[in-house]
Amino acid sequence: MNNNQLLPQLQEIFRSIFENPLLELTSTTSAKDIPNWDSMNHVSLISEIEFQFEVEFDLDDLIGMNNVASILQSLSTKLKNKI
Amino acid sequence: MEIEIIKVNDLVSFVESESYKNSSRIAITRLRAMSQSLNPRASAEDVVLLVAKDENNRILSYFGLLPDLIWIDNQPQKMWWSSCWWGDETVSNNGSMQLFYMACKLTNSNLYFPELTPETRFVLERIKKFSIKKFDNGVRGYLKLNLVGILPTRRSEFSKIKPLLSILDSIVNALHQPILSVWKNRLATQNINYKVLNQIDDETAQFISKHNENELFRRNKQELNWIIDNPWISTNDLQLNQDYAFTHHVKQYKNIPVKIYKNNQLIAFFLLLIHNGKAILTYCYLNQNTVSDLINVLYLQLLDNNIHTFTAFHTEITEHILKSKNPFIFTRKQIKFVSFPKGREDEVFLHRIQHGDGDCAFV
Repeated sequence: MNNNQLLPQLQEIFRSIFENPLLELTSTTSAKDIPNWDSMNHVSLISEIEFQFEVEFDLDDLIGMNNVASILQSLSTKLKNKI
Repeated sequence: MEIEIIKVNDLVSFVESESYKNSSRIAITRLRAMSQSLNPRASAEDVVLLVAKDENNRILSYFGLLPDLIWIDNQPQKMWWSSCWWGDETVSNNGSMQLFYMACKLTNSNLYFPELTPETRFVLERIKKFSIKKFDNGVRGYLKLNLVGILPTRRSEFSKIKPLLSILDSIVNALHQPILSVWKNRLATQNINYKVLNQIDDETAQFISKHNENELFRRNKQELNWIIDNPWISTNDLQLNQDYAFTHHVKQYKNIPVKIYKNNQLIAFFLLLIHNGKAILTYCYLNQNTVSDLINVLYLQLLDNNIHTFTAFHTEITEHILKSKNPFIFTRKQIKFVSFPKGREDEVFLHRIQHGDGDCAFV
């Protein structure tokens, strides 16, 4: 699954966690574009991604996940390794 | 975002650097840094602070760590307490979670949280790598009513009736004062043999070593003296002119170590932390059947120091206070939640943790 295929699914998760049905996600979306990206929403976001994609991120992935691009990168690597 | 990692041997130079002195926001006070640099259980290479900064070198979040030792199978093992965790709420994705994950990595997930806030509990429950133990052996006793100080901080509506709360406090406290005087006179005439110490002496150290074998953190003389001599909170008049999210200055702050004798034998020791009229029992060691002797001395200290609220998390003491006549206007049971890495349930549930363990002895 490439980033273009992952983005719509990620967007749904972001919309649900940040309670914003209009949120448009791109690979360049940064935290500044998403209000309320606090620690509680962050941990809910990661938990939901892990649940939906059936992956488990390791600490090195989690340390680097501070924007959409890094989340996409870590997720696609995890999914490739899963196959 | 850049993450700065500060180790024990960096602390002094960190707080003496020009960038620290010129920063409008700080991640650690000088007092905390100096204290942490003397932690007898820390090694020079132990990480104690993680700071996330933006491209303008502005602090966005920080995570403090307090190195300690835990006894597993009678052997000490290195672990870390979370001592503070803060993020700038005005900045979306301020890096506080990245700092948390980095703290997990650098401590090999040997990370403990001494008293969970609801927010931290929410985060830890979702991460699923930590267990949580509920401590329901706490008690809080109120020697003076302070509704005007407590209620408006909990619900803003109470701010409107502050004068009324103040009057209510004054009336109840005036009515209760004679009861406190009777207690004080009665305790003063009981001829209890006790001594307030400046530091833990050898006799007390020996007594503690006989009582700490079932403890998870097994405090000793050196560590308790470090706590007494190196507070994190200042009482001097110098106000901090930098933005710092945690308590750094109060009017009254002191540790009172007390040993108690009966028939010329040392029977109990406690360490009481006093913080702006609040007293917290941080450490306590006692022989069997001596709890009433200890509590009499404890009450004397509370009354002598004009305390309004007392808190303890010690099963024997809590039960005794709740079951016996006491000088409090009212008492309430207290709970707290301590978090620890999954897999450590046996040790944590079977061994004693003192209320002062972690950073609780300092704040």
